[in-house]
Amino acid sequence: MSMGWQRSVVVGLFGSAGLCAVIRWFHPATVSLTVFSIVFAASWLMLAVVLLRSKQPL
Amino acid sequence: MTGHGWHRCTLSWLFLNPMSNLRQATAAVSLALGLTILIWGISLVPNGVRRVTSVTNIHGIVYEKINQEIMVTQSLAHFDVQLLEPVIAKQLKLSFSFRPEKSQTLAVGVRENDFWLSYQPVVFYEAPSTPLQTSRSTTITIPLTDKLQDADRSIDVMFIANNQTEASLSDEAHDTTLWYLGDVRAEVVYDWPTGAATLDYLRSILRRERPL
Repeated sequence: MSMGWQRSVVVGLFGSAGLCAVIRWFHPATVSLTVFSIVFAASWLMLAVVLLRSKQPL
Repeated sequence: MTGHGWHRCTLSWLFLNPMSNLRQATAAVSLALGLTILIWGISLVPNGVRRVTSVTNIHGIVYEKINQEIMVTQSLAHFDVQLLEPVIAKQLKLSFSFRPEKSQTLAVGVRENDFWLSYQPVVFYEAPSTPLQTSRSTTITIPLTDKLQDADRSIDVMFIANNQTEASLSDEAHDTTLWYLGDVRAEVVYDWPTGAATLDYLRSILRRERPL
């Protein structure tokens, strides 16, 4: 997977976490804290994996 | 590299470099929307028996239990059902036994909005001409989509004796209510919601509806 597509996945995950956060702010019962935490953690995990695998120096 | 530098580099990698083409940007937005909808959809799947809290009066004082039956001595008796899912597309199957004693009517409802007494009571007992003193069982089904759900996903359920309204509740000292409640079982099952109920659910999200 190219760098651009990897970035799409990471941005998509963070976008989903953001949407979950907004929905939770409006109506906490619709998205549970557990679900939000899992998506948010997955976003950071994916970001870390992509950055570590990339050849680009940080 | 310093922590600050790493932070700046990560942010620029994510947000400052433009997506190399429209397809990748579309993929990111689709993933965000699709994943959120998928997560929400999965959260609707659970159903089954749910935990109920103790039955209390409107001041939160637990009613006394005598021989496995709860002695209800006020016109309103409240408890929570701890759901594990959003209320949309669900209905509550409430099964319980009761002994009406001298009650004229007994009803049960689920709270609908932020007003504390916003219950649409479903009558499950009306006194016949010769009152029966024996215990009986019943199952009430209440659609949940348009009902108020707390942040911890619980819903408020209220038993209402003798058609009490907010005005008549002011005279608590002369409340002669007496009936017995036993074996409350709450089960959540699927239900196709009506259009009006779905709109109500969406409205409650946009209004950030909370119990007052």
